[in-house]
Amino acid sequence: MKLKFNYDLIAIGSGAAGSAAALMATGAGLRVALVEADKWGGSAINYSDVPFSALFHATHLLDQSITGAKFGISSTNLRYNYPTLNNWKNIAMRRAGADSKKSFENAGITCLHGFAHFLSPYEISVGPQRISAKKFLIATGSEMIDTGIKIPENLSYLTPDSILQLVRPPKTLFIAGAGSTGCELAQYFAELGTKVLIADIAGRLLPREDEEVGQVFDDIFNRLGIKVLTQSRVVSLEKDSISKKVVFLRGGQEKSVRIDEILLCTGSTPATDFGLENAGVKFTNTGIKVEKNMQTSVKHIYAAGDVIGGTDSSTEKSVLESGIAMSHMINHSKEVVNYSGLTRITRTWPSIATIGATEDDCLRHDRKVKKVIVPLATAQVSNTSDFRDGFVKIITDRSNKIIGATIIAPQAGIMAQELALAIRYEMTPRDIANTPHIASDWGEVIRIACRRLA
Amino acid sequence: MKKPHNYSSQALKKEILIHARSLRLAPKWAETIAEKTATAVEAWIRDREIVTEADIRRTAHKTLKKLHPDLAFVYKNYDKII
Repeated sequence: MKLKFNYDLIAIGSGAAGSAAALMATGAGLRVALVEADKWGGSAINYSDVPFSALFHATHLLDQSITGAKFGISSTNLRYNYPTLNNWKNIAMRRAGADSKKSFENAGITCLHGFAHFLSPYEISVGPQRISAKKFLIATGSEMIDTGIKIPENLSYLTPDSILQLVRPPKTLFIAGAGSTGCELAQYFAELGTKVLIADIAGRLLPREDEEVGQVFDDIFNRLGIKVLTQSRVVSLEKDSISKKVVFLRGGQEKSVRIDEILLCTGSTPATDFGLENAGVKFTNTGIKVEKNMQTSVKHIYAAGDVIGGTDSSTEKSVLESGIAMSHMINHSKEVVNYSGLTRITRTWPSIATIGATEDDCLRHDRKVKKVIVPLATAQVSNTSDFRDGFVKIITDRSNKIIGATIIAPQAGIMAQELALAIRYEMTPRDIANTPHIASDWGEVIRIACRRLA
Repeated sequence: MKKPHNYSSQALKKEILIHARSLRLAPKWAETIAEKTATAVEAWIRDREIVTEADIRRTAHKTLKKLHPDLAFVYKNYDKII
């Protein structure tokens, strides 16, 4: 007996992975439904990439202008207006289609707003509605991790999502978590004049990156007046009649500090609490288990994006995985996901781009590597723009193929694409060094680094 | 399958209390555990209009595990324990 379904595909989550999948599927002529519990467009458009990029662009501009006196730029009356800054962020989000299902509906996708919950392998509930589909793509992303920090019920705290609702920057801010997001926001608020303290359990800033990255940002944060508390564990948050208080453990001692606001940037965990057991989909607390073609343990259910876990979460990774899932689902392609060349970006100033393996990753796996670190100061453009904070680090394996790179530079993201290509196509430093680079641009540092390794 | 208006926090609390009695838990403590579990399930169910009985049992078990692991075990395996 042939089963009848409401849709050919239901994509759960309208973020990078879900929306890409829905658009690809509808383009292939399938009947598609897109389910979203929060804001249309997902976290990249509404809570991270777009709003943060817009805000950071403005504050980095402000910071550079303040130090423009050596270029003859007067900054005596330089100031910012926070409502205007917020408005700019909203404009950028609106242009990107934040919280708008219009583009999906125009493409012929049925949009359903509500919390999806699996009732059986082929059926989900969305609010009071029960709908079925031949295939599913799970792209529910991630949610804030339970930090174990003791927080009273009447104490409000900030998260990377809720920080966008602030109407003015706080006077003092304590950030728990010195990963990418924590450091980005620490620099953002410091540039606005907030007194920032940033704490992490790890022994350095940006523990996911190599040691040198943490050292560069130690210096940069020192200059900005950001107090860095490494090897510190936040134990509890308290509130009294005067202000909020953060209690943390450092050097075996319990210490506390009074602040205006607390921001928890302690990481996220895959959002898997929506009846996956009813569908028979296997998952753990690190995410949904998938094959290399993004199929879960149930053959007609796929998963992509942050919900499958993995060390690096990014929009690009989500879109890549979604593409593979759709390719398998629609065309029965044998293509498998290839993460080689995926770049991890931190939107500080200067920005940080990491591709492939870090030196720490190689040490952990006992992998013998060669490395070179070239400071930005070796490039002509460092002299003409008077900018020296940063470096290019390249790692090669025993066969002299480039396997990893870290760049700290004003245009690290753009510079990284060349090395992403090199890693993906197993090129050697000689291949890069023998390619002409623009001598008066930041890419020249990459050529110099590769020349030293060739 | 159960709709939320068929979910009964009283029935859930009653079941937890029965299992707590079999473990000889202090009555007041058992009531507190049952209350906290029912509250947690109600909070979980708020966003979901249609859930299954298995979902409710799973959510209750998750909360019970934090409050009293032995009671959580009995609650989960009640049909296997003689």
